[in-house]
Amino acid sequence: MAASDKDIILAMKRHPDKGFRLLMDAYKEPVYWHIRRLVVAHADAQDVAQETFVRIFRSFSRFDEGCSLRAWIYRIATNEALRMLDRNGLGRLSLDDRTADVGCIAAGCYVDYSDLETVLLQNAILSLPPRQQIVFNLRYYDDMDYKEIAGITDSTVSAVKANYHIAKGKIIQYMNSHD
Amino acid sequence: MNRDFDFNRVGKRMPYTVPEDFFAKLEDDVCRKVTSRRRMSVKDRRSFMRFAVVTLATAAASVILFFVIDGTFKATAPVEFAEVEQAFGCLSTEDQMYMLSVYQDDIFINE
Repeated sequence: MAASDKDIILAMKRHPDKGFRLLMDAYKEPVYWHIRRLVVAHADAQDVAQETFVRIFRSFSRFDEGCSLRAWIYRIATNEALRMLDRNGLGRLSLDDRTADVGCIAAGCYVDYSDLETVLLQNAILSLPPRQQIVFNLRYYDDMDYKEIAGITDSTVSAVKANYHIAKGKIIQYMNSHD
Repeated sequence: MNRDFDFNRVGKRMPYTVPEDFFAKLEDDVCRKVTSRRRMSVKDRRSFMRFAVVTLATAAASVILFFVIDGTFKATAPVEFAEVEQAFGCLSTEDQMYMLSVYQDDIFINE
C-alpha cells in the first residue's frame, strides 16, 4: 500500500533518500501517465518523468506544507511536460494557448492501436487546447477535485469547471463525428 | 438517431503501454540520478572546503609573514645614542663640522 502524503512529507524531512522512495512508490505511475497523456510518445514521457522526479527531490525544501503534495507534484510534472513540448518545436506552449498544437497519436512504440475507441478518445483529448486537455485529464483520469486542479493550473475553481465542461462537450462532439 | 458518446464505454482505458518492468527501472534511474547529484554536491562541498582551508592558510601565513618582517624592521630601527656618538667620533674633524652645519638647523632632528 502506498504511503500517505503526510507520511511521505515526514519521511522526506527525516530521511530524504527513504522518503523519496516512498514518494516514488506512490507517484511514479500516476505522474508518468499524466505526462504520457500530454506528450504521447513513451520515450518523451520517460525523460519528462525522470526530470520531474529529480526536480521534486531537489526542490523539496521549497515545498509549502500548507499545500497539497499531490498538487505540487502534478504542477511540476505539467510544467516539465509543457517545457518538453516547447523544446520539441511544437510552438510556444503555455497553459493559456487557445489552440491545440499537440496533434494526435502518431504511429510509434508502446501504443495499442487495436483498441480503436481509446485511440479515438486520446485523439479527441489531444485536439483540445493545452489548458482544457490538462483540466480534463486531471478530472477524468486522476479524479481530482476542481480546487486541486485550480491549484495545479494556477487558475480559479470556476474557470476550471468551465474548461472541464467545454472540453467534455468538444470530446463528445469529436467522438460522435468519428463514430 | 445519433446518440452521444458514452464515456463509460471507454472508462479509464488508454491505448498507451510501457515496456516490461518500466516503472521499477524508472524508480532506479531516478534514484541513481538523485544519488549521483547528491554525491557530486558532497564532492563539490569537499573541494570547496579544501579550497577554503588552503586560502585561509595562505592568508594566515601572509599575515604572520607581514608581522615577522615588520618586526624585523622594527628590531633594527632603534639605535643606541652611544653608537651614534661612537660613529660620529670616528669621523674626521672636517666631516664632523660638515655634519653639524648640515643638521644643526634641521627642524625634525632638533624637534
